[in-house]
Amino acid sequence: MIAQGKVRPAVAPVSEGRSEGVSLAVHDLSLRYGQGEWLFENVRFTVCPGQLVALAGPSGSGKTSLMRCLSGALAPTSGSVRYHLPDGRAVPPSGMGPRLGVVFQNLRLTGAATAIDNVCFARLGRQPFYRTLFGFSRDDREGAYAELCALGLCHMARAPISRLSGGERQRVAVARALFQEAKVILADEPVASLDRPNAERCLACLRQRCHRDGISVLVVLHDEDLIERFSDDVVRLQPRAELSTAV
Amino acid sequence: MTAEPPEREPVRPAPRRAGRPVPLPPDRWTHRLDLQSCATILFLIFVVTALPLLRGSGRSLDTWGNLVRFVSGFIPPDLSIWQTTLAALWETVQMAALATFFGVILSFLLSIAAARTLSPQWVVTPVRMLMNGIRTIPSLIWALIAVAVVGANPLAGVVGLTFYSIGYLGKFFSEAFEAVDLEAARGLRAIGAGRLQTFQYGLWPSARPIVWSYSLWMFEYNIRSASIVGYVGAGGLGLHLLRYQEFGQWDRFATVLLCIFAVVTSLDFLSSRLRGKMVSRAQGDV
Ligand SMILES: Nc1ncnc2c1ncn2[C@@H]1O[C@H](COP(=O)(O)OP(=O)(O)OP(=O)(O)O)[C@@H](O)[C@H]1O
Ligand SMILES: [Mg+2]
Repeated sequence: MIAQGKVRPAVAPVSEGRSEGVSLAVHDLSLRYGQGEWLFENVRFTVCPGQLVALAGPSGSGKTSLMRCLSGALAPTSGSVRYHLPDGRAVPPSGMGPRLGVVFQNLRLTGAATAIDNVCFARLGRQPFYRTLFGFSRDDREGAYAELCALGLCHMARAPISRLSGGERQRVAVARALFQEAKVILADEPVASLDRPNAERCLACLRQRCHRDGISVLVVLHDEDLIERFSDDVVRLQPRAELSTAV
Repeated sequence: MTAEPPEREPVRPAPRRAGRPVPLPPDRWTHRLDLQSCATILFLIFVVTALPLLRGSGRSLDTWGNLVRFVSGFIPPDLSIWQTTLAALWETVQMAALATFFGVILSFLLSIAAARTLSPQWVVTPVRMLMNGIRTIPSLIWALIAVAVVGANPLAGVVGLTFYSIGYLGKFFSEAFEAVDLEAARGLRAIGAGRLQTFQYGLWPSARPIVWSYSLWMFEYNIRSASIVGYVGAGGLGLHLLRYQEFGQWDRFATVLLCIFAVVTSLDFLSSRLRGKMVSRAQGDV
């Protein structure tokens, strides 16, 4: 029902040098809403620091639901999600705090705030409220701007999110996740509404950051070509109709 | 192309095929008597029963003559009192500004407690009841209460108008907060932001234009109210109005009225332009 097939070995196996990486371990995760049919059963996989794993499956197969279990927004019906910290502890999603970066499928950006501010929001979890009460530091703003530029949004930095196109918003959401200095990034279809060159640029950014900083990255992707080119490993969720006939 | 196009079939009017068109069933009188028309009828009945009020005192008065005499007392306005009037006007605006300031701060806190999306129900209900209670009391009565408590001075006006403002702003602000979509805020929570940060950056940007615009409206409203609370001794222009009325100095009374008129009109003009800008910006943003 679930296949984790190696596309290629992790390009930069960072595990030796990076003691500060956080890996994600999913054990026998199963989920169904109420008494409905199982969305997925006994899913198990790991994402190591410096590894970009793709999560694939047709629409409605439960990718977003799985991501919600991983970010702690949804309690799985059974099984466990653990993040292994460098100090040897294994914590549930709630223990991750700002170390967990998320790109939501519905983005969840603040519409009335500017693009650069939305990227700065990534740093909220690392600062006490009185530091952010009167806005963000020069450093934060410059870092956020660089992040936006890397995704081709230099000229949009001061525009409010509500004036951006769908794809531009999506890139802001990715920039926010990248700017968070998270140890684990969960990205739900971060390139769904992007044209091919921009999708590639986005994924290249994610992948480069993943390898450079030893981040564990799980990305929901539909496009087989993109999966092939950018991911180190794939987790596939099977469509539910097939599931019921196969079992 | 070759076969008879089957699309033609449904075009034929259905009733004719059935022989005669189905007649529309007649409306029964109960159908027309919906809630709105019932309310209208009840209201009209009430108006009819209230008609005797229009008789006035019952004596035949020279209405037109009265009006002319009264208004001619206003003309020309006695502008010699401009210094005291302007000073009182200044005090009025100051009272309104202070009352708006305190009102905005207090209602901001209260409105968070009164927003269903931000606070638990057991907090929301009593706070809303409190604000509803505050709102039912007119500003002049609030000023009267304040005069009884802190004495007849401008402080009483500030206190009274502050309470009055809380009743309205609390309601408006909490509605503004409830109208904001919480998606963004939930997203910020998920990536580790604290509660206050989540409010400040996930919710406040969307609510801010509306909160500003209501605050401005309240300031404008408070200037109007502040010029009347003096009638019960709470400072400002009203005190002068009361004095000139008691001594029948209608030409001076007219000067004060002119003053109020000028301030309120210009403020109305300014703030409606400002609010229009804010709201249009908010609509572009959200
Ligand atoms: N809160 C919920 N309650 C009940 N059913 C739900 C809930 N959320 C999602 N579902 C159902 O679970 C199934 C999987 O939804 P999910 O959003 O995880 O799919 P997905 O794989 O992310 O699809 P897509 O590629 O279209 O985003 C869908 O059939 C959906 O109707
Ligand atoms: Mg999804």
